[in-house]
Amino acid sequence: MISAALVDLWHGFEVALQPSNLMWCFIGVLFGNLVGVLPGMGALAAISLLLPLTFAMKPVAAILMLAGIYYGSQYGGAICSILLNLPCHPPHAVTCLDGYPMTQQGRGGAALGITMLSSFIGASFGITEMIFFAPILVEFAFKFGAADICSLMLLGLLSGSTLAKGSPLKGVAMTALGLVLALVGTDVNTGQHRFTYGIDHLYEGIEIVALALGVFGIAEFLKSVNNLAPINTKYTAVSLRDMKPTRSELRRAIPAAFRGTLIGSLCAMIPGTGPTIASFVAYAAEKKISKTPERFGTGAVEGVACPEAATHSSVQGDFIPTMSLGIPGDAVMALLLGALIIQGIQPGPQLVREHPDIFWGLIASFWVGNILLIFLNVPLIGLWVKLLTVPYRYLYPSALLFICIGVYSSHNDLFAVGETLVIGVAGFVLIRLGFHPAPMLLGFVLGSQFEENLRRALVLSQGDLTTFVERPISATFLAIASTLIGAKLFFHFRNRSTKATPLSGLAKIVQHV
Amino acid sequence: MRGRIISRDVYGGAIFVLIGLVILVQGRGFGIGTLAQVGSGLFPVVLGVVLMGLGALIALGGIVSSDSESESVPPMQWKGFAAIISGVVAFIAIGNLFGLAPAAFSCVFISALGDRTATVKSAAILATVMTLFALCFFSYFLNVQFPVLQLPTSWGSS
Repeated sequence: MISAALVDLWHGFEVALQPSNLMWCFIGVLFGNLVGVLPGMGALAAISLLLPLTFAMKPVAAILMLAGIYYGSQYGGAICSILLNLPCHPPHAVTCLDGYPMTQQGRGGAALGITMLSSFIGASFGITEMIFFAPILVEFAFKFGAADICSLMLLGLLSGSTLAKGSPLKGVAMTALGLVLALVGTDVNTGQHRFTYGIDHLYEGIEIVALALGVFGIAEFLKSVNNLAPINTKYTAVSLRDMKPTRSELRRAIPAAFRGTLIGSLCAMIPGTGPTIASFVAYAAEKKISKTPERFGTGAVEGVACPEAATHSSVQGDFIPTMSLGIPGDAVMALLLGALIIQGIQPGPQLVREHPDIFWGLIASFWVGNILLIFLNVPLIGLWVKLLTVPYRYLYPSALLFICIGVYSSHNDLFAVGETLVIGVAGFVLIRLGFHPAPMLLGFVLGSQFEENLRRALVLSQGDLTTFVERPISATFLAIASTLIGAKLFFHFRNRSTKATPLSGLAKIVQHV
Repeated sequence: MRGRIISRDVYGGAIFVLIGLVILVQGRGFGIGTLAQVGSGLFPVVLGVVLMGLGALIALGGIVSSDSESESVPPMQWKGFAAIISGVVAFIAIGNLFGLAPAAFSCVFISALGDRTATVKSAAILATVMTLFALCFFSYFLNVQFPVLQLPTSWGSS
């Protein structure tokens, strides 16, 4: 088993190191890093913006580039949160707690260096986990029938929707809305048009690009225009030399990074806990075992290293169900799967066997990309810091133009641009009302497969609904899903009665991000 | 502030109840079929019911307490909204009539005016730069099929 995985991995490196693939990976991490640094932009905006460009690319190159954007923007986001105290991406909220005080003490460069090191440790462990764990999961997943897949998707949707910030109930509602949006178009089973209202542009369904750029692009601009806090650039003078941590900082940071890695990979295995929760748990744990907990919040390197490592190992862990089962853990993964579907590749357990280039190439490119990122970030840190100060008044009109042309180019059709605008405005109204759009994308991407498997399961059981609880695999997934709901309800009511638990305090911070 | 936060959840819940209702009513029209032979309407109907239920719960939560949301709501920026929305509308309309170059310019120019600190001059400079960049990058480098400049006579025939 292990030797087979290593042979496959070798093949993956051959794919990832092909000059053209290496170039796309490089473009991906560069662009991701760039957009991640820009204030008011994050991983979702970056991936959505480049999604239309991937349609003309080969599937392997497309997925390598999109994955590169993702972890590139994570690095970029870390720069933003440490130097400016602005967490662009929720998992980085914790990094601000000690990263920004370090910046104020003139150790911002060292904090960045520590972040890169811990991210690399965390990511490497996550990748290793994926290499050995994913093929086992795939073998297991081949035993799944339609009913099992259906229950698994339900579990995936529920855990994905309760992950988002804000109230879990609203997250579930947004996921359901995503499922509804996936209904638009022609029903593949009966050929009937649903919710198209006679508009022939809608017969093929809503464009994923229009949806993603509507809610992560236009809606975000509507939210941020004239509302973005002025940026404090007092501490952004960081040079290459500043990035080298001192020996004592390293001695404290490296063990913390390994502890964070472990916490992150554990969190990735529990449904309903993703990178954000992993980073909070890691921070709390590190503070608890520390001999000097009072230093936390005033610039402790462990407080930077541990959550960053946890985030990255958990992010890599999220790729396991995404690539081996076809169930995305969050909106970013959903976009990646959406890109694969557009390329005509059906995600799921058969992906590893039918498209080993994509699967193993992606895994190998994680390492290649992470190493590229270190080489990029070390010499380019000065440039990134300059980018931090790009004013929003230049940013959003330019990004808006890219959105318009990007959406147009996916089908050479201006109707899609109008679709994006409508979705963006509607998305903005929902954001104003406290609904976060990320879970919607999860529902949208899984929607048609979910319905398809539900129908197939019912046909196979001749309309008997008990098939979902009689099949042991399906029953297990449903049991986990109900446990998840039960746990959420329990914590919800407990937090209401005892307000001052440390985790609820941390959760408050997340909500402010 | 308290009253406003409560009403926010009530509005949000109400929107979902409404969407659910529309999906439910229209879904029934697609034909539900039987459980053994599911029609196009079953899944929409189920989703409609789920959305209505979730919407009702959210609205109820908003009436009972204001605990669920602690975010502060930033003020509405009508000027910014108007600029961004008309920027996109201008892109569609002008792109349809005159081609990519004027569409790109007007999209950036109009949306840039929405910022509080923007002037006509700064917006025009940004729009010129971005239009040139877009033409180089999308039309030349990526070869996006969008006529750079055209006369409105070809409208409808293209």
